[in-house]
Amino acid sequence: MRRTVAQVAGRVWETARRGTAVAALGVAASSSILYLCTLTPGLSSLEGDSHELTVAAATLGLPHPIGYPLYVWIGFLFTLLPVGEVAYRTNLLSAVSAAGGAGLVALAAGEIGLPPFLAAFAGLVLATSTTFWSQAVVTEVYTVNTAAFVLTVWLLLRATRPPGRSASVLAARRFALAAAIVFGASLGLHLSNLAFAPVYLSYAALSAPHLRRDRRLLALALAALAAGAAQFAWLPLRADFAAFPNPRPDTWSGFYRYTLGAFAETRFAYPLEAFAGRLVFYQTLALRDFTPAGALLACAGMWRQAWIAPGPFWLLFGVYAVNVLLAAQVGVPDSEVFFLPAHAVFALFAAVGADAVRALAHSAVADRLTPRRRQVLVATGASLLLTALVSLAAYRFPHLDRRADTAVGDFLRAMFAAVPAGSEILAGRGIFGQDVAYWRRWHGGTEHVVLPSIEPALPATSPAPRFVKARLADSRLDPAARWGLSEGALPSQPWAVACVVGAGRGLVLYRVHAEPPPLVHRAADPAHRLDVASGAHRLVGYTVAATATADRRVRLRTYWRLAEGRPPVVMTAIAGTPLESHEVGRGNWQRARAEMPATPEGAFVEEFDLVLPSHLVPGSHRIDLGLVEFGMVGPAIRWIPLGSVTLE
Amino acid sequence: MSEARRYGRTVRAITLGAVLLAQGSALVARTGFVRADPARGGDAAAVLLAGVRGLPPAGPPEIVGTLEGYADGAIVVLTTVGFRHVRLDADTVVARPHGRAVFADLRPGAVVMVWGRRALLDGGVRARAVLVTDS
Repeated sequence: MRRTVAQVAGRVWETARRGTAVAALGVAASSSILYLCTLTPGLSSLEGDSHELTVAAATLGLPHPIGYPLYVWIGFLFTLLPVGEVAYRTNLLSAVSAAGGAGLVALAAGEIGLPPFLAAFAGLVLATSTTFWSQAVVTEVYTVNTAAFVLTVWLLLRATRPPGRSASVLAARRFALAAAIVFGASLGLHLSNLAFAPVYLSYAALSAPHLRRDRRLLALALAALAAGAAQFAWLPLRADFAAFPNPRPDTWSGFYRYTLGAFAETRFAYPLEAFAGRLVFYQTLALRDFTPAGALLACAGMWRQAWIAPGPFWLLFGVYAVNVLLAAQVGVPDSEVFFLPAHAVFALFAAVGADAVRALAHSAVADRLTPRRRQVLVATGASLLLTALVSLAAYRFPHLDRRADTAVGDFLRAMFAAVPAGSEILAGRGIFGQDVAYWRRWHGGTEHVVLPSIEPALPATSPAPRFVKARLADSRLDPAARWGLSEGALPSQPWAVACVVGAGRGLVLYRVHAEPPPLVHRAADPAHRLDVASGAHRLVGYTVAATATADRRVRLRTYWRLAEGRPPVVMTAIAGTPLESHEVGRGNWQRARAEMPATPEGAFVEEFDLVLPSHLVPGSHRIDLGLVEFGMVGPAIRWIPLGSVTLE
Repeated sequence: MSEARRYGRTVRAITLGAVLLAQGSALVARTGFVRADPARGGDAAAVLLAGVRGLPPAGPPEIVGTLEGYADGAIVVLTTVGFRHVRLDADTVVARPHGRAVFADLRPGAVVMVWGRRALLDGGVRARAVLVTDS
C-alpha cells in the first residue's frame, strides 16, 4: 500500500514538474516576443558600455574591467548570426538571456513547490519589471548575468530536493556539480557573483548532508570553480585590446586592477550613516519595478516560504540580502541594474505570496463551494493575475520600446557623409569612442576620413579640415583626460562650431577653426523674418532647406540678436516629435559677444545640419523650433513652425 | 517526509524571526527616513539650505541623469533605463552643490539629481528638489 501511495505521489510530482517545464517555456517564449518587439535595432543611444561591449564581442577583444571573458565569448557567437547588424545581434543576446532568465525563474518557482501557473507568474513578474526589461533590449551584461545567477540557484534547489522528490543521489550530485560549473563560469559575467559563494556553500552543506560528505563531489566542484576562474587567463592573452583608460592586464598588478581591484572606489562608496537612505533607494526601486501590490505579495511570500520550507528560503533570502546590501553600497549613477539578481528572487517571492493568497482563499471558502465553483474561483484568480501583468506590460511598453532608437547610427551615417574627403575627425579614444570604431569596421562610407582615435593622426601642420565628435565646453575639450584626446590635437584657443547635430546629447560634430568663424553677420538676411522675443533675446528669422539630403540632413540657420546674459535655449522637432535641445551657439555665444563686433542690424547666426531619424517615412514633414523660457513654474516652450521639409 | 516536516521548531522560529527582523527594520528605516528627509517631507527651505551648504538633500535621489529636453513645466532626463519626465512647479527647489540655482540653470546637457515623488508606475517624477551637479 505504502509503495502504491509513493508511486502515485511520484507520478503527481512528475506531472507537476512537466507542467512547470511547459510554464517555463511559455514564459521564455512570451518574454522573447516582448523583447523582440522592443529591441534596439543597432547601437543604443543610452550609451553606457553597450558600444564597447558590442565591438569587444565581435572582435573577441577586451572590454573595460573586469574584461567579461564569458560574455565576450557568448557575444561573439551571437555576432555570427545572420540577422540585422552586428549591434543588433549583441542586443539580441540580452533579449534571449532575459527571456531565458525569466523562464529559469519559472523553473525555480516550480522547484520550490509552486504550481505551474504561479511558476509562470513568477517568471512573467520578472520579465515585465522595468529595470530588467530595460536591460533586455540593449547590449549589456546584466541580463546574461541574471540568467546565470538564476540557473545556479535552480541547479542548487534541484540538487538539494527533499528525499521524497529526488530522482537519485547520482542526479543530485550531477546537479550540484552543474551548479558549481555555472557559478564558476558566471564570474566572467560579473565578478560580484563571488559574494554569493558563502550562501551557496552554506546552503549546500546544511541542506544536503549526503553531498557534504561526498569528497569526490567536493573535489570536482572545486575543480569546476577553478575552471570558471581560469577564464580570466583570457585577459593577459588579449592585453593588446585593453583600451583607454584601462590598465593593461598583463602584469600582476595590472591583472589585479583589471579584476578584483577594479572600481574599488565605487564599492562601499557610502558612509555607514547613509545606509538607511540606500536601503530606501532600493525599496523605491522595487516599488517602481514591481508596483506596491507586487511588493506586498513578495513580503507575504517571504513569510510563507519561511514557514513552509526554511531551507530553500535561506538560499533565496541569503542571495537576495547579499545582493541588496552590496548593490546599495555601489556608488555609480546606474546602480539600479546591480539589483537584478535580487529582483529575480523578489519575483519568486511575489509568486509565493500569490500562492499564499490562493491558499488563504481556498481554506476560507473551498469547503463551502461545489467543485465547479471552486474551479471558477481559481480561474478568476488566475485571470486577475494575468490581466494585471498584461496591463502592466502594456503600460510600460511605450516607455521601454527602443525600436525607434536609431539616433546613433543615423548620426554617424550623416556625419561621415557630411565631412569632405581628407578630413580628420577627432573622436573619443578607447571605450568612449567605440561607436565611431564600430562604424568604421562594419559600415561603409568612412574611408575618406582619418580617425586619430583608431589610426595614426594627420600631422598637426596639415591643412586638412578638422572636426571633433566629443563633448566640448566653450569650444574646448572637456576634459581631455576623460576622452583620451591629446590637448595638442586641436589648435590653441580653437573655435568649435557645431555643423551636424543628431538626436542625442553626444551626437554633435563640431568643425574646428583656428581663426574666428563668421558667426556674427553684419546684416541679417534670413529667408523668413520673425523678430520674436525669447526672454532678453530676439530671434530675427530663419532659413531652412526645403529638401533633406540623401543621408537625411536638413540645413537649418537661425538669426539672433546678440544680447547680454546667457544664450537662449531652443529645441528642434520634426513631425511633432522633439529631436534635441541646446543652447544657441553651443558654447560660442559669450565668446562671440566678446570678440566679434556686432552692428544694430547684425545677428548671431547658428547654422547646422539636423539629422532626421531613419524611421521617418519619405514625404513632407513639419519642422518646428521651440523657444524654451524659464518662468516661475519651470520651463515653457513656445513652438514656432518653420515650414516643411521633404524627405525623398 | 513532507517539505514542511523536514525542519524542526527551532529552525522555523529562527527563520521566521529573520523575516520579521528584515522586514521590520526595512519598514522602520523607510518610515524614519521619509520623515527625516526634507525633500520628501516638503520642507523646501531645508532642502535649499542643504544645497547652499554644499550638500545634496538627504537620501538617495529618485533620478540621476542628463538633461536631454523640455516640456511645458517639465524637464526630460536621460537615465540608464531611458527617458524620464520630471515635473516642476513653483515649490521645486533648484540648487547647485555650492549654492542656490534657478530654473534657468537647468541647461541642456546638465547632469541632474532629482528628489521627489515618483508616480505609481512609470509616469515620471514630481520634483521637490533638483541638484545640478555638472553641465
